[in-house]
Amino acid sequence: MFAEALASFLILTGGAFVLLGSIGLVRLPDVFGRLHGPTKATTLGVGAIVAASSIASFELTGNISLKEISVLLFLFITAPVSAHLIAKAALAKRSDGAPASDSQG
Amino acid sequence: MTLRERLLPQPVVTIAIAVLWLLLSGDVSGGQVLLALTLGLAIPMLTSPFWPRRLKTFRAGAALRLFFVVLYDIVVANVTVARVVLGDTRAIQSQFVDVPLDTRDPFVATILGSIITLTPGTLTMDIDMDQSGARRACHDAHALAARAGTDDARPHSGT
Repeated sequence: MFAEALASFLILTGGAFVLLGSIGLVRLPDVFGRLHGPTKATTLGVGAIVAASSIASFELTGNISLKEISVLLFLFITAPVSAHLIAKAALAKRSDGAPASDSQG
Repeated sequence: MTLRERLLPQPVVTIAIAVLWLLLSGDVSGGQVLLALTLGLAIPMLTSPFWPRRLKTFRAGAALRLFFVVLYDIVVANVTVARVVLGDTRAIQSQFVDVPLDTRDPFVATILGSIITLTPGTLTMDIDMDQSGARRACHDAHALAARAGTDDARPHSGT
């Protein structure tokens, strides 16, 4: 019962942060700003959902499932790499190529 | 390069891959352990040209402390960025920030860059490592901030 409540809370929290990441993707003005949205959603959002999955599977089956840790690990390794590549591509597309101090991409 | 370094170029990575495989497969039977060890030995050997140097030490205490610092920062910054995203987006003044590095080690710089990206509100744009020049290595990060004052998401530059 307590585990179910905790898992539900984590799923709702995680879902809320993934939603906020998507809202950020839509609302932020330029490519660099938009990059913030999805890379952020993976951290706390997917982190909380994965924790909920771990708790729920322990509650339902009694087995301690550690697959979730590897899901999180892969996301935490790949998210910065893809964000970095997109950022570098966006930088290279700018005419001067150098980071400017304004936000206009 | 000794035979041992040739066969086992990255001992820390070998252990990490083996443990990760066992986590992924979800059972610790003989066959899975054998497969885990095979992958742990083969992958570092095949990818050794891409590794800048051999990782010799692994300070578990420092890594654990860094893990909790980063976890705390991610939670705090997520809330801050959530407020920025839901607020008036015209008030957002994002900036490119140079983050000077205390390290010349590309591996450490990459870890710091990944942490900056994973922390909401900041994004690593470019890692500029000048190996020959003294202390010119720097990160270019993109910081998202709504007006001065809400820069809680600023990354810790010391690792």
